[in-house]
Amino acid sequence: MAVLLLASKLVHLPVVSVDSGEDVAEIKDVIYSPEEGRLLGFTLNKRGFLKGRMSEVLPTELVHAVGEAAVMIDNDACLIDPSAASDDVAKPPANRNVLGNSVVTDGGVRLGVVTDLVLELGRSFAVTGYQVKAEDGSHRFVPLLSQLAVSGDVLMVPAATEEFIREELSGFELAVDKFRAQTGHGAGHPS
Amino acid sequence: MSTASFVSVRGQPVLSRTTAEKVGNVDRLIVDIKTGRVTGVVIGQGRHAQVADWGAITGVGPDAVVIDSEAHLADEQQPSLPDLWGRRLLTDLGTAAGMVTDVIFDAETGALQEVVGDNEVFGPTRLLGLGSYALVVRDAASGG
Amino acid sequence: MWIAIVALVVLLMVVVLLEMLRRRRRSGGIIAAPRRKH
Repeated sequence: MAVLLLASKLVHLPVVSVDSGEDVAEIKDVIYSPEEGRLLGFTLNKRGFLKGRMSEVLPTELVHAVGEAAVMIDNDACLIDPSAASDDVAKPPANRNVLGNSVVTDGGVRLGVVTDLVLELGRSFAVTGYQVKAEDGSHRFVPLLSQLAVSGDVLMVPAATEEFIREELSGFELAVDKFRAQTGHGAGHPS
Repeated sequence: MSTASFVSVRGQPVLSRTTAEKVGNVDRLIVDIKTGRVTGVVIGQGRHAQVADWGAITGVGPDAVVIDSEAHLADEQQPSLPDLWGRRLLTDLGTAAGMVTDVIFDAETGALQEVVGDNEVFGPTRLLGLGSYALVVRDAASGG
Repeated sequence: MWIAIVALVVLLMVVVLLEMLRRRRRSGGIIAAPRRKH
C-alpha cells in the first residue's frame, strides 16, 4: 500500500542529494498542472539561517523520490538553471492559491473547492486526489482520475466519484484503488 | 575475524606503538561508504584534532587503538568529514529512519559490516551517500 | 542617552522588517500552472 501525503506538506522540506548526503535546498513552491493532473516541478529556497530564494529549479523528471521527510535527488546537478527548465516551472505565476477551482460532478453536484493535492509518495509521486473544502467548511478527499476534464475554474469529475469521497487520508487510498478498479482507469504505476 | 564497533571504540585511548605514549582519545572514525571501509581515526577534538589513516593503524582492540607512530598523524583538514555515528538516517525514498546508533566493522581490514539504526540494520551495499545532513540508505522497497 | 535608545529601537524595527521580507520571499505553496490555450 502506498503512503499518501498532502502536497502542502512538501513546502520547506529539505531536498537531499542521495550521492552526497547533503541538504542542498528546500522546497518553496510545488508546481502542479491541473490539465495533466500531475506535478511539474518545484521552486527552491536555500538552506540555512538568513538564506533567501534559490534561482535553480527542480523539474519532476529530475526527482528521484518524494518522501515525507525529504525530496530526494540523485545529485546536485538535478537542480537546474531556470533557462533550462519549462516556463511553468521556471516562471510560475506570481499569484498563489490558483488552486481554488471548484470540483463539480457531471451529475451536477458541487463537491467543493480545491484546497490541497493528495500525493502518492515514493518514486512516482503521482497526484491521486484533491482535498476539497465543502460548503459547510469541512474538508474531504476526492479521488482523481488520470483523465480529467478541466475548463475555466471548474474540474469536472464523474458522478461515480461521490461514493469514493473520504474524510480521512487513511481510508482514502483504498477508496482510490476501488474507484480506479470500478471505472477502469488506472494511474499506470507499478504496484 | 575480530569485529569492533564505533560505540566501543569511541573515547578509547590511542597509543603509539613506537613510544608507548598516549597520543589522545578516539573522537570518531572516518569512513568511505563508496568502498565500505573505515579509512581513518580522528584523535582529539577541535583545532588540535589529528587524523591517522587506516594504513597507519596497527590494531583496534577492546581497550585501545594502536598507531604505528606519531609521525603518521596529520592535522585534520577542514571542513571536517561527517561522523557516521549519530548521523540522521534517510532512505532514498525520502523516509526518515532514525539515527545511526552503532557501526560494526572488521577490526583487521576496516571493512564495514553493519550500520545499526533505531529500527533497522543496514549492510554496506545499502549505503548510498554520507554528508553533513544524513546518511542516505537504499530503502527496502527500492530493490537492488 | 535617549538618542541611543531610539537608535536601538529603530535598528530592531529594521531587523524585524528585513526578516519579515526574507520570510515572505521564501514562503511557498502549491501553484497551478496556467492553462494552455491551444
